[in-house]
Amino acid sequence: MQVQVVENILKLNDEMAALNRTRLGNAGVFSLDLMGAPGCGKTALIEATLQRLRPTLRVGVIVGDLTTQRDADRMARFTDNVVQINTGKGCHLEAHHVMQGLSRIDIEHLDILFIENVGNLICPIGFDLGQDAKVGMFCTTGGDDKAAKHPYIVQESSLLLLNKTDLLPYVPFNIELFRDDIHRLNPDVELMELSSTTGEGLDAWIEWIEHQWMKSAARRTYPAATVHSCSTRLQL
Amino acid sequence: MHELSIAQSVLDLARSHVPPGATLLSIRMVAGPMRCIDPDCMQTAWLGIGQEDVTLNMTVLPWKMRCADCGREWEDAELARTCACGSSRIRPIGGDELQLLSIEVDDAESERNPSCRCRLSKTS
Repeated sequence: MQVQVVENILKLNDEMAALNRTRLGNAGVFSLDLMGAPGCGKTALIEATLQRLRPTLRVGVIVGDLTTQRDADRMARFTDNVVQINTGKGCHLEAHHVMQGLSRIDIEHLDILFIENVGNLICPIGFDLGQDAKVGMFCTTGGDDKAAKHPYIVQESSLLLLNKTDLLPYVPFNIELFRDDIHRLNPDVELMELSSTTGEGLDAWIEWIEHQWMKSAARRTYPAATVHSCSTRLQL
Repeated sequence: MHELSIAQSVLDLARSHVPPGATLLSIRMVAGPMRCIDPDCMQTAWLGIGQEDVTLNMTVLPWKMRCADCGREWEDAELARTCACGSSRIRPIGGDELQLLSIEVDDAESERNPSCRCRLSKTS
């Protein structure tokens, strides 16, 4: 007997992601899912970002790896709000991992949440975590063909980053070809070229995050006393 | 190997549609090309979660594209870099589909004994 279904296979994940989105949205937190291949510099970028964001902003990190606490240990030097998720055999984070992470962070006292996905250019893309923005990351040492070979991350990202621009003189990377591939696949997405090692290009990245956070914070209805307190704290 | 978690999600969703007492025989699903699901990996994942008795039929859809200059729309197994008109402004259409379409069940046992639900455990 045939039973017609026609349902989204990731329905359960999407429902959990919606719960995460509601919780984060109600708390006025801007959250981004940083996705990229192993070694492209996701952790180094978050470290550099944590040092540069205005000190009054409260930032949390949920970081996914198959195993070890190493990334959490690195980022714990800059914030107390770090949760390491070990996925075991899982090649990407899913909404339930983030839900688990949120249970260990006081999001009511958070402004920005970074979710560093497991190093992978393919698997994380199709899984909604409840984040506000998906940010795809490439690097010059990875090769200029990676955008063309991974169209889904180009299509689905709100912002794309090209890291390790300081190494451009030393690696065979045709940046015009790379930019063309991105524009062909997603003419609307912005590409930021930066180096988390030298700091080149980081100003635009920091500005983008702070701008996104302000939009998220504006969604929340704050009591007047809280607005005054935040304005004072952020020197707005 | 996101195929493993997708296989588990397909199975969980399919099971929720199996009538009480019936046995799941096969599953029909569709995946868009952007999902990057390799059919061989999917079959391996399917066996990996112990579903050798259930047939998984997955259709991977072709790329659908539109030329931003001449407006032509077409399908191909690969994402094209240029249109026949010479333009390279090719935009993918959709491609992120991931749906369970239907399941096939054997409800013979439930007809013989409507209160028997033990066959459901066979697929667990």
